[in-house]
Amino acid sequence: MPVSALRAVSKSQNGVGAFILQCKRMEFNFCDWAGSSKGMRHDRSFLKHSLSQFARQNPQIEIIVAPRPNKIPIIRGTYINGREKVIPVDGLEIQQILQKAQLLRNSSGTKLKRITRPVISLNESVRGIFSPFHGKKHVI
Amino acid sequence: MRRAIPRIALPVTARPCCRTVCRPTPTTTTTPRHFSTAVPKKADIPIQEVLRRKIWGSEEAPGAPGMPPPAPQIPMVEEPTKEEAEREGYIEESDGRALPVVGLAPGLTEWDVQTFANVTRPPSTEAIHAAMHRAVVEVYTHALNGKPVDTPAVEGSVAEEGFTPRVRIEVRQNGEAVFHYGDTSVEGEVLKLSTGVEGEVVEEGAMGEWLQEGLDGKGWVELGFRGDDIKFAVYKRVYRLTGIRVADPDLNRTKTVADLLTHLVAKPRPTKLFDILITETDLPTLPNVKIVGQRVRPWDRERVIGREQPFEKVVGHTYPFEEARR
Repeated sequence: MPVSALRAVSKSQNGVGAFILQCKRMEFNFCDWAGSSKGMRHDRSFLKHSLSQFARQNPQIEIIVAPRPNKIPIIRGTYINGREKVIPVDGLEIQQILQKAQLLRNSSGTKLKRITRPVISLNESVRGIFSPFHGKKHVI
Repeated sequence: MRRAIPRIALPVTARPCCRTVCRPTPTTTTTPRHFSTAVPKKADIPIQEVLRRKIWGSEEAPGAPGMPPPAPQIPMVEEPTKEEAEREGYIEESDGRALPVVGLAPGLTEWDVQTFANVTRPPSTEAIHAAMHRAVVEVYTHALNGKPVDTPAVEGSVAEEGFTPRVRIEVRQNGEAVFHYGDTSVEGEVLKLSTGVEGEVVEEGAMGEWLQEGLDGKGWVELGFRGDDIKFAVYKRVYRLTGIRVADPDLNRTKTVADLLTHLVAKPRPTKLFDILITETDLPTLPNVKIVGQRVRPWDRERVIGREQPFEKVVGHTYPFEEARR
């Protein structure tokens, strides 16, 4: 029989060829009056000192700074799959807010899943799935 | 059976001695006797007065009972009387800092001392410019006439006067400054630091020209200080007139009148974070950063991407009353 090639669709793997950051926009909201926004707006605050460096390091992310009166400060990340993730940063310090921003940048828009298996792979198992009818027979 | 003679009680001594009998029985004629070592209380003094004296620590508490204590009187600096000053060998008492010693009455806490600059209200921008112009004219007039430049600050009055506003200062491109007095009497009055005749009104046009120039940062404010002595003399006079202090490092760095005015007419620090981010950070220069001054509403996002549009524009619908108006 002639051997024919299997038609397979290429599986996209982000990062194998080109890497596309999943986070496309980050919105920093704060309140001009409330004390929970201290880490965002006071002297030596995140927005005044750390945001410019974060924006330079991530030019592919659109950053929006807007007030949100009478609400707690939040960071809202928008992803390519259309989902949003919101993290409240009320009462946090500069380094803590920066960690939350980096967390949003490093994550994708997928929902959080509980991982039960130690290894997640697209490749099939090398030794095959267990079958009681194959292999060395058990002698009683 | 009734007795004809009533029974007569035997005297105490005749009765047989027993415990109940040996105790002397009181009679109705004797009064009760008290014996105590405590000081008798003064029933006429109310408890409030007792507490007041106890708090004060002595019997002579100030103020009448029940009334609030008298307000402390503000002391004034005592100047020597004519007799004392004319007395031979009179030397005003002074402490180690060469300052006059002022008597202090008991119970007084506040001082009323005339300071160098007695300005209570912060002046307006126009008033600051006017004070600066007056100081520059006075100091430079004294300098041009060979007089001590400190004289206006030390001896000048803070009352309004009408001579210095008439002086026009021309600053040429080579840095020279020309003072146009307009009248020799004006220069003389400025030298005398006179405040002029009461009720004298300055022509509004003459003052408005240089005032507007100063507000725009042009003209006489470009005048450079010829030396540190003139600079400090001008600042001293301005401080006396306005009461605004400038920090020493800022004063050392000033070269022109405009530099000094920037420290006197300092803009208030912005309170909104939006203004601070726009003015004090480099975030507006970054291409991927957008700073918004107002709350981003849900429909703002829809309008930015062009999704939300008025219904009439999308469908091309017109209302009947709009057709009637046409």
